[in-house]
Amino acid sequence: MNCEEALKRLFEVVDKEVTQADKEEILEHLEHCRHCMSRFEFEEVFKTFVSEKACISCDSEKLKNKILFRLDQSRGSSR
Amino acid sequence: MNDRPSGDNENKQRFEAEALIHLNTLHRTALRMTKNEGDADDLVQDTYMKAYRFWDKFEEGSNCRAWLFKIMTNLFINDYRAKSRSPQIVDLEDVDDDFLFGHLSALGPADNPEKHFFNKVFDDDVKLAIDELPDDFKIVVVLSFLEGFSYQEIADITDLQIGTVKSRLHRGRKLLQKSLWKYAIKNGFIKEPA
Ligand SMILES: [Zn+2]
Repeated sequence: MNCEEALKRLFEVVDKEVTQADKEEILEHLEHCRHCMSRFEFEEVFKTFVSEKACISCDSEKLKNKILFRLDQSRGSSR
Repeated sequence: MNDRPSGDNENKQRFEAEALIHLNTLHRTALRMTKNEGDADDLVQDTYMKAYRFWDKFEEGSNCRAWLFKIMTNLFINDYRAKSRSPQIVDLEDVDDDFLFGHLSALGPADNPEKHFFNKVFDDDVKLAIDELPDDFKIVVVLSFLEGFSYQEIADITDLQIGTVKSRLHRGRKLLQKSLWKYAIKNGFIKEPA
């Protein structure tokens, strides 16, 4: 595998979309290529970074009550 | 209340146990999709009302969370997005594949610009950068990055071909990196090379 192909497929590893065999093939290249490896590590950190920063859980308690209320209402009216 | 069929209550209890437990993840994605709390509230409520109406169509044992996201994504695209009049500004400018990595590496290894970048950028900047993505890219990025759905699950949720999911995710990732780079420079976390 050359750099071009490794870089093309690196996101499949980042996104956990490869079979174990494919993953090993790609990692094999990365282990011998510093440039591709640092790019891979960067993209992995980037994905984790974005998901952690944006995943802060929101307060859904009020929303839950509204939904429960509407569910009750819709059951009442459908009788 | 003896006149109420007992299945009714059972149905509601099953809905609460299987569907309502996913409220928090639907809520956070709705916030990114609609970009404001009021619309996000409405979108999630409408999603659950629709899901409840079609609850008998839900195949027990299949992925309830993905099913709810499919309902919500459809509502967002067909209803909410159609209502909002703000035009979508699509960034047609080509972005290099390794935009952020390339820019950060170009700053040199001396003071570890990557680490600097990831430590400094604000939560709000990340949210804003996601919010500003054109919807087509944003939906795919949020489903993958925030919600951890696989390419195939995203294809099922959005009714897109898996190849389209991959290319939108790729483009979305680049656009996200580009705007985070801009925020980092604007906030002075990174000094733009002269
Ligand atoms: Zn390489």
